[in-house]
Amino acid sequence: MNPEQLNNLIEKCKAGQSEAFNELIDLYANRCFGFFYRLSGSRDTAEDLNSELFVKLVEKISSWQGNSFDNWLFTIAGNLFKDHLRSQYRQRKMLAEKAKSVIVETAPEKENDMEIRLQQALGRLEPDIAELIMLRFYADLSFKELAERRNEPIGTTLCKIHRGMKKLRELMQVGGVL
Amino acid sequence: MKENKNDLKALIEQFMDSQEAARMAEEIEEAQEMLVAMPAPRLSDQSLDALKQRVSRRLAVPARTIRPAATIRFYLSSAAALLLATVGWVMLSNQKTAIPVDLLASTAHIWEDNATSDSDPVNTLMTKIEAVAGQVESIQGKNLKWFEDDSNLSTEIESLEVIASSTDFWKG
Repeated sequence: MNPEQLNNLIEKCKAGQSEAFNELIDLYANRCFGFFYRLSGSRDTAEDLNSELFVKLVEKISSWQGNSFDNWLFTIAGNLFKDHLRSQYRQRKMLAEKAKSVIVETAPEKENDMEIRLQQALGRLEPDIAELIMLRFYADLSFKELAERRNEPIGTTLCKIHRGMKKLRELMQVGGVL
Repeated sequence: MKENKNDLKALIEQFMDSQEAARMAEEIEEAQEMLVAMPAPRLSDQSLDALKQRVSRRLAVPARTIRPAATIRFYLSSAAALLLATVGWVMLSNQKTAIPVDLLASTAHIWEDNATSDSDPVNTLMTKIEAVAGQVESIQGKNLKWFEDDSNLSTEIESLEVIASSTDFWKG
């Protein structure tokens, strides 16, 4: 869908057309779900957050100013995830500890384990850096957009993503996946 | 991704030398390829339908009727508070502070007393000294009851001695 078609679709959403929202869900729901899933590591949490995101979208879509919709949508998604992190901080810490012990104790046997290992590796990154990588990947944002979004120099954003991706690969290699 | 490999290398070269930039771009690309190779699971059709239904239900809720009501309530209460504060301030600033007559009289009396004292401090002091001297004399003139009759005193001492000798409460 080109930018003009997307703008038209959003205008219909602003008018409260249910079909337009369904189309928007078809376009973005899986990407947003993937973003939440990679960050939370839980299908249920990702579905809940995704659902919350689209309900919020209904409430906020009239405030969209016509700039990058992807950037705007994933800003809301990122804020939702941060709220979720705050409320689940202790539980998450406990789960991360558990995930570390699983890495040491078990070895991957099936192809499906790659998926588990990736989630564990993402869980071991700093939440801030994991979010940056996921925004780069799922929101398809450029480094310039990411830097602007975070009010930091582009060099800083580049360094953070490089460091995070390098660590991600190392963790996957240590796990014997790559 | 917005930048391809060459764009990425060019971007990184702004911060470091060409060789280092190429290596860094390569590492980022490899990690991105790894993520592409392992896509996240997708929503099931059932979940997608449930999401659409939830959004439709939310759209059906007349949000516009809720929001203006809340906004009107907020502005009305703010205006009422402002009005009350203004009325209170105006009333307080216009109020004349009348001093009660009896308070003025009592204040004048205090000043009169002080004027007398200030004019003749020696007399006042002498009067007070004489009053104290009179009190001392009256105390000295009185005999204490215990010493009025010696027999009472000796009886009391004897009874205390008996108690002390017959009991051992004092031993602790």
